Amino acid sequence: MKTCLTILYLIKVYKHINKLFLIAFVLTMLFTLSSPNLFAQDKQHRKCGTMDVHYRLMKTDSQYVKNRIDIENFTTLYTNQVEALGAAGLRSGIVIIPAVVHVVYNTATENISDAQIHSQIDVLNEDYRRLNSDISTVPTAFQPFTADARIEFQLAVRDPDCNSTNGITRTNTTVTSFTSNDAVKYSSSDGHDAWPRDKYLNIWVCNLSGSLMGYAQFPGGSAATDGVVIDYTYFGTIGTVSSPFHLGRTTVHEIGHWLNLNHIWGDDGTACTGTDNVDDTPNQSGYNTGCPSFPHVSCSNGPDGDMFMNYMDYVDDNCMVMFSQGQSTRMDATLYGNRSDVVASDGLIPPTSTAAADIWSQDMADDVGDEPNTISAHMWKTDDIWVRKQNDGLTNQEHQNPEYQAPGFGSNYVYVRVRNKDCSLAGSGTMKLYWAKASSGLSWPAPWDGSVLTPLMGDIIGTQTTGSVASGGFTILEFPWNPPNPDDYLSFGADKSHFCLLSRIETSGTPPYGMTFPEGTNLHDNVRNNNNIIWKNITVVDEEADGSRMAWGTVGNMMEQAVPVKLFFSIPKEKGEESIFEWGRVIVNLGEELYNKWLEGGSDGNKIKELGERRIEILKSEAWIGNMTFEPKELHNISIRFEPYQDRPIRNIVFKFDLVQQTDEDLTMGGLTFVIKSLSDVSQPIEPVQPSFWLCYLILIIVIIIFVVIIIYILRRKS
Amino acid sequence: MMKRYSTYLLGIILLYIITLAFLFCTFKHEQIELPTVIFKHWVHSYEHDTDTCYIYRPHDYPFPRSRGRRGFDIKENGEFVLYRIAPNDGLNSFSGRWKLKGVDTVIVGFKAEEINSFSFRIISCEEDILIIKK
Repeated sequence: MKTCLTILYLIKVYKHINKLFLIAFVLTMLFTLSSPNLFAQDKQHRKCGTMDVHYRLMKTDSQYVKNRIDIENFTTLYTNQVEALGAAGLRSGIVIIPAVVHVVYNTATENISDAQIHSQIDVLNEDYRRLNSDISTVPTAFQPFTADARIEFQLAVRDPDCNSTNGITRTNTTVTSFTSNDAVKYSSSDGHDAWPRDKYLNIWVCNLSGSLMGYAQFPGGSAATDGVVIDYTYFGTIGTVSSPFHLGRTTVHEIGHWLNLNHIWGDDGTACTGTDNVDDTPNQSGYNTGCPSFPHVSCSNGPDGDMFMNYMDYVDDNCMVMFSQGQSTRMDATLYGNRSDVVASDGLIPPTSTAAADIWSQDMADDVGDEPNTISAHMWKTDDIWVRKQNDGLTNQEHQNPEYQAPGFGSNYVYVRVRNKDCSLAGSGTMKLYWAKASSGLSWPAPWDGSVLTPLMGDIIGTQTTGSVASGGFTILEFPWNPPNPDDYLSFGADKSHFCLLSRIETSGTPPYGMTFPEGTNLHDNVRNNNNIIWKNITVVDEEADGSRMAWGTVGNMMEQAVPVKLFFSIPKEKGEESIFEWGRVIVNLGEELYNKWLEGGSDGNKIKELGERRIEILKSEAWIGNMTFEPKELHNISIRFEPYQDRPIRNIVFKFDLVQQTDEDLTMGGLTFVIKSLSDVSQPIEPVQPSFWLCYLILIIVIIIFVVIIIYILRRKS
Repeated sequence: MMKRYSTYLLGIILLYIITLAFLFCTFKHEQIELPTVIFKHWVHSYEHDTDTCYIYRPHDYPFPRSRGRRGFDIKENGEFVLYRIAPNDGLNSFSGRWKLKGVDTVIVGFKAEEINSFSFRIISCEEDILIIKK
């Protein structure tokens, strides 16, 4: 109304102006009023949400600013590389992060129980592994974006001084309530000092003042304050908690920040211009609260609206149920970047009772270095060996299948992590790294020692001294390696490119070379008995054009005597591993010779279905075929086809499938593991363009066109 | 011909500048004062928002539990402190200045680069409740 009056007033004042000027003036006013943001000071310009943090902290901590920029640059680089790989970019290993909970209490009620703390750890291990039962509440539209972050948490069993611990500290404080000023993180202010962040996730539980439920520190900040702080009434699922924040999701949210996740609304107030630096979460206005009904549309992000059920929104505990795949990738960048040390922490390794350097490598994520390893299921699945097609294995530890390169055309790189269990003494040793033509029937020392020729079935890749490995620390050795030419292995058919790796660390130059248990011919036993021998026989199976996966493997006998053979087909029993049988069919082609051998043995087997043409279908885990005998050096190639169901789960999943070769029910000779990565077949939601801007620009263009046309028209009439 | 055309354009630009100046002057002359009950620390009581309005309560109001609440402290001397949810939770505060536009719209500006100016329109204000138009 005010604008209209202004226009009329000016028209009156300037009524002596000729018609051309009047028309021009009106059009100019229209132009002015249609211009976006001229007077609308409440409109904000596009700005990155995390830049707010940078600018704010730049005034107080220039090193933090530099760290944050470096971390964000690395994250962008990593994310771009991984997303370009599609499903192959998914991380397949499990990371277990040691956690310490510092309970800082003023009243007895604030001194929460061990059981309450354990209930929180349980929640973390469900939510970060997509094992939470309420994941089913994710609307159909967002189900393809849910992620298994493949991160787990355990309370530390070794403290920074190498004593045993239950991963919980308790401090009686005189402070009645803490604020977000980090006082709870210092003993000097009646809190508790942080444990080293390169080995532990610090979680402080205390009474926070006001309505503050928790806060976190992003990667890149001070070591003394690194971790998350949670109010004692929002920690865990029992005891002092109460609805609607009673399901432990506050800690899930804060640890998301600790792993470099941003709020899903982009931390820009409600401007729709910020970003959470993740592509597969829709643009969203401010934070959501309570439990909105789906869809909840903002920032023109319809029809599906906000991903308010994401852990990084502000909804109630029973409403936040998922991380997105993009968020999972961003957390991976943190685990391979700024927080890479905590991935191989000794916080989960019980302190050693003897003061002696103990160089070792981990067989599986649950291995604590015992000799023999009675915890891990299989011995050929180490994550402490990984192959990269380029020398980037320090910043991306995801295993890739090695690829043959013609001489002079590059190299693969093998990385091996070496750890030291001891509490005080540095250790060292000599690492010998070997390759072998892969099969489930490998033995020791042949073929690793180069003694099996025509074709060469194995050899040493290289020898390196580990250097001094600090007590409780680790080091990573890099070996350039070009696998043998697959054309030398045509008799292996399609499995000609499949090789496996073995690392042995010798701490003595004479037999048994520092091994606790002298090595025998059974390689699987050698690896289980000695914590300084690790073995990897894992193949990442590429996706075919029709969505299926085809894998090849070799079974056989590399020993000097005939052995009875039983082949097991199974999915790993580790927690959280999804069943390939829900995703599709598994069909094994035994090949003519092996199939006939199996028929001669009476077609002995279980949980299988014979399909004809030398094929069997694996119906369930722990299926097997048996009653066969392999002569010395007898090898057979088999193929395994993974055929997805049409109605398979539309989620991002890493499946694993084991082929295990046994001589009888109890003695495992070896095996190989296939990794099948499946990415949801959906396009990522596109950040919607705000139509209001387009509308403004459209009006501008129309006004300008009309303006020009009128001028031309009048000029022509006058001339 | 070109001379006449230039004259027209010059006239348009002149009128444009005059119009802007007139609008600015009009706004300034219409400024009035805010009610004194508004000068306090207000916190978002989002549970009571409607489709068209935000509801704010004084900071000592017994709010239900919440992961976070934005708010602001508006002072009679022109100071304005905005409390926004911090990227790592908790609150960030930003100091600025406010001024009135028209009879019911408050414009807030900040010197700091990290936050832009904004405005909000007051629907009503009493001792224990502030209603702002969405």
